[in-house]
Amino acid sequence: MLLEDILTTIMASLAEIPNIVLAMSPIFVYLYLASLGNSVVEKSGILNLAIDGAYTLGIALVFTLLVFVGDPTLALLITSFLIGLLGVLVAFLTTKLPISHGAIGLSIQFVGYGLASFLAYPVSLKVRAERISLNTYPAVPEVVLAFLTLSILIGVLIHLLIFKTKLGSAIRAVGENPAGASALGINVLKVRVIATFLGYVLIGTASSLFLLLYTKNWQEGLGMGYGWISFAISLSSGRHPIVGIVTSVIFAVLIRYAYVLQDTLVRYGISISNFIVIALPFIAAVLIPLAVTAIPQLRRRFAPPKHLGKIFFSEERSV
Amino acid sequence: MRLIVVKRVKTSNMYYIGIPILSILVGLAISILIFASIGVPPDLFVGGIISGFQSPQTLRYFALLVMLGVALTLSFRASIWNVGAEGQMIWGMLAGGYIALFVAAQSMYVSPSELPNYASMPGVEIIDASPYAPVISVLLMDPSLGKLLMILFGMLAGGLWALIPAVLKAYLDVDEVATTLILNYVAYQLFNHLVSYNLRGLSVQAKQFFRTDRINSALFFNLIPGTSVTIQEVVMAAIFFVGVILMYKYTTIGLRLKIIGSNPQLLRSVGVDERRYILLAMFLSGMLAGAAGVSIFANLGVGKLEKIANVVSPPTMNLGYTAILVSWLSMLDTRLIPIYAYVVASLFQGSSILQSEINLLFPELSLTGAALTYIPIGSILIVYVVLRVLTDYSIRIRR
Amino acid sequence: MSIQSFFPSKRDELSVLSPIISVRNLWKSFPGVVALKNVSLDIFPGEIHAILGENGAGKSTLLKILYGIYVPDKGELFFEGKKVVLTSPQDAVKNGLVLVSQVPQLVDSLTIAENLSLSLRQFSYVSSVKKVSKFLLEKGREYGVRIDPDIEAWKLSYTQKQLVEILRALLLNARVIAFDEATTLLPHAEKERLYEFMKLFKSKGGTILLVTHKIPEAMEVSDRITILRRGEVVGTVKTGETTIDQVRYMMFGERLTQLNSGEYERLYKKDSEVLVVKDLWVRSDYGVYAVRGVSFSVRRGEIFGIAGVAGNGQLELIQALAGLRRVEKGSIYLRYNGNEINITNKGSMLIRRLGIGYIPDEPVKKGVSLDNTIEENIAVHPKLSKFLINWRGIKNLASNLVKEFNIVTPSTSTRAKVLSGGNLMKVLVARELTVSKLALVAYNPTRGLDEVSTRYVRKLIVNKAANEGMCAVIASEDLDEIIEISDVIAVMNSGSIVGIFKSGANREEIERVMVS
Repeated sequence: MLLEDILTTIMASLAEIPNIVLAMSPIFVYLYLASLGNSVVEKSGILNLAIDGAYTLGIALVFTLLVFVGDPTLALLITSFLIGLLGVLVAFLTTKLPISHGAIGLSIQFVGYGLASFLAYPVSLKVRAERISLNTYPAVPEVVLAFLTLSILIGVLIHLLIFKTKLGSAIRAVGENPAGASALGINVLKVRVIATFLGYVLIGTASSLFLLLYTKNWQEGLGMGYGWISFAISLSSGRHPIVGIVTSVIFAVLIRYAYVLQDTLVRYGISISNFIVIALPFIAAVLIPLAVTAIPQLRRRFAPPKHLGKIFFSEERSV
Repeated sequence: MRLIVVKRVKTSNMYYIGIPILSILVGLAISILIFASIGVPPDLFVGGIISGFQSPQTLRYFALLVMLGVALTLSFRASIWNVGAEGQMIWGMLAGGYIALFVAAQSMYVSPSELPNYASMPGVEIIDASPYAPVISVLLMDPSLGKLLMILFGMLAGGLWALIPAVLKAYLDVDEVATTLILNYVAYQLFNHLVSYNLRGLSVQAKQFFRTDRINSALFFNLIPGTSVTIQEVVMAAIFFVGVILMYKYTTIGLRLKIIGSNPQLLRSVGVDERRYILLAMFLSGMLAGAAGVSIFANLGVGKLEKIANVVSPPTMNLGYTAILVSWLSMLDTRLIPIYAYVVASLFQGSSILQSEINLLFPELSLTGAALTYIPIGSILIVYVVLRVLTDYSIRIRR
Repeated sequence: MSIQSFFPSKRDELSVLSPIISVRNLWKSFPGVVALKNVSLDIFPGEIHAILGENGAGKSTLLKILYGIYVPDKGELFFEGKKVVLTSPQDAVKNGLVLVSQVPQLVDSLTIAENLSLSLRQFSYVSSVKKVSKFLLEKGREYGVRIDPDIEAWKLSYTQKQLVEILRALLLNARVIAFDEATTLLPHAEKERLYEFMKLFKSKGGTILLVTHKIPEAMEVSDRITILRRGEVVGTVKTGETTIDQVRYMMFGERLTQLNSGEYERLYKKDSEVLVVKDLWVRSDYGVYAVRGVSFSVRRGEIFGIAGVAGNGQLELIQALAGLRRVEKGSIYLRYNGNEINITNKGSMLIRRLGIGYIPDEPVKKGVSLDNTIEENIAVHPKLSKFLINWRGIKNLASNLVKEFNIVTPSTSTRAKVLSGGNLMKVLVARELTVSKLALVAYNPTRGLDEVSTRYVRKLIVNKAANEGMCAVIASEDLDEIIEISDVIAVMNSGSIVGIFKSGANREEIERVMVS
């Protein structure tokens, strides 16, 4: 009977949901946390083009630390802190000196790529040679769900911080109108340092979890481009912590279920290669921001901070 | 006591020369320190760099970096960060490859028995002499025309690929750094797809590995004897270089491309649609990058398109990123590009010489090509970006 | 919103003989110009002290030094007798000085509570905005100010924003409130109210520093006036013991003779209509209609002036006429040589090519490119170069313009950023007047210019209209300017033309229609 079939399919799908959630969670976590971090940084007016470099470096760092320290959580914390410091450097350079954000971002991106290979490649050889097993997080539901809830919790906290507290107002003020914020009594540098440290700690955590929760191993170039996907998520959700959850889910689905999509399409006679599947999240990372900016209402709501990426400099400044 | 950054009364020309040179020296010094920390002897490092300056291979990178440097400077001067030269080069390769493999010439199977007949036929070349399914390549047109078509289509493909982020920026105000960069990754995968399926070769090696056939050797660009650089590369580099300089100096389009970088609002006020110029700047930039892509492909050492195993080492050798360094060090002045193209080409070649030497002498130190290129590039870039401030601002100590 | 009373500040008794703010031997230079030369000045508690000078005299620089935005090259600052080194506005605020500037320094997308929370040190970074909002409501009640702290700042009118700034000054326990050209953009009634506030503040023991370039204002409300000219203090006078002429002489010195009293010869060949605007509707950046059904026509050689308080649609109207803003409804026609061309939404390139010049709002930001040379700034105009640039022709044109307009520049191939603001404006006006055969469309054409340049530009516009038949549509926030140069004055209020006056009309009538 048709009705029975429909009901059984629905029940079967519903029963699948826990599995789906479990499968997508690691991807969601590493995408969402990085996009959260990116949003915080950009809300303070800094165009965060160093994100991919920081991300790749974070992955390499946590890998190296894991081999030498052993405990995944300790490796995660140290990595997050160090990447946070990188953010502070970015804040200093872009605020104190009249340098283009894009220039700083790109330079740090390349240094990040270079240092990532430099640090982790020898370690990876050592791991292979000595057959070291990496003590990453076990892929059990408890751990995965714990990180999932933790990420969403952090997202809510960040939302409250940005929109309900004085610090959040300060961060937003610095991103929209740093001259006005300064006139109102805010130390622009101090606020940006706080925002970038916080944001980059999140990026460092995300990149650590990319390895610890998802890939569980390292090869050269791992993670390159995933920082940009998080950047695109942040951009298409208007840098809003809660909307970012939805966008991150969309991308997580794309990454996780691209192969399922591939199989489904084959049944309809469309075959896409594995390469297209790999490219899908990147294509989406261009198309989704396009869609968001093309629709005027969304564009207005998700508009970037007015002073994003602009050099904040008056006639002269104290360094 | 405080340090104060103050805008300069007069911008000193000395800085235009000094800062790039200083950036290179300090950046290299930082790299030496970083590599020394794991045991690379500084004199080996310096020796590798110096041999880069003298290596004949460097000329090849020089020509390519002039083309790419001009391409990027064109867009950077229009305040558009074209970081997508890698993807534009890839499409140049693909388009050039398509012409070489299917339009200017064609590969086909022949029966093993007929194979000897083709050995000395003009315009025919044996690609794969395997006993079961030999493959020959037949020229379909005059090779010079073929090469010209390869270049033109490569340029067109590069330009069109660059138009995608250009349209997004011009009409939707989407930041072009993210889009051009992400599109590089898309380009790599589309390249893999096309090479593995649509452009897949017929020869045994092509079937076994994911790659195209080797192109007909008549379609290779012509090497200048004694070097690894081709006439076509040199000619293109020269044409692009001179052409862009003349464009800036004598045409309205050139002037407007400059002004769109300094004040797009001015263009709007005088009635010029600055969005069209954003498209033009990116299209031109992509075209020149596409030409560079064709050149890499049509070289004797390459001649085929092969699947990219790891995005860290694509067939474009990350020159699209290295060219950013050339463009910036030239302070976005087109005329200085050849100088810094040569310097950066030497560094680039030097780092590969260095890599093989290190692998030979110090096998326990494992350094990848990526580390050896990105760390020096990145260090020089950061130092440059910070020192660049000094051209327009001075740092004073105030009590 | 209005201030009816306010909370007296608790202060120690200060001797009225010692200054509350003193500067000694201040020097400050910028690239190419010495802004302040050996400036020394005393401001006493309980006075309204005006600092008067024309644009470029150094008033703004002096104020920015007092407010910690600039650091002087030489010289010292004293607050209540103590030497201070200020490195940021917060330092100045700590010393009791708060600045209310001409452009409200509020972050538009934030609410009033969020904005002011940034100034109120008693709230830590982690305190909630709700707490600040409650605090502001309480304080507002105390001061008799009715505010809704949870409105976003962009929704406020200019006057309301200024009131918020004043409230902020009071909440910060300011002893000295400095107003930087704060009344220039206020309608008449609001100006009076601001003067009332100043006198009230003074009566409660506060000090007011009033920086202005308008002599009548300084004369009306201040106790003492310090006049600055070209970066130097000319003198300080007691307002009650001086006259407008004396003050004017101190402001301009020997250049007094270059000012004429603003009478222009009006001999036009006013015949046919050149520009016809029918029922125009144009949206603002926020999506609402800023121009609502505006119709008018301008004849050959006629100057059509548009008066009104800023923000009533004049800017959008001018931008639509220049082809830079979409016309939703209605049409714009050009008539010349017997042809009628519909130029509605046809793109600004067509409008330029037809010979219509445009002086934008924020001319330095939008009308010139600082990084390019004067020649390049001229050559960029589509009417002056086609495909190839004729550099010789451009150079000649540039030299002629430099001579004709008295532009101070080392050469025509110098980069524009070296020029002073006034000279940059001259380059812009020179270029636009060269290319305007048919018409000139302008917004605030002389804003930011010194008195001599202002008169020059106005004279040029009037002359070109008179001698060459160019028609002009000029919108200006400066009513004096409109009255001075227009043949016809249209007043815009809330997007429509609410009154049309002939030149010579009663000024009060015009002002009344502006603010009704």
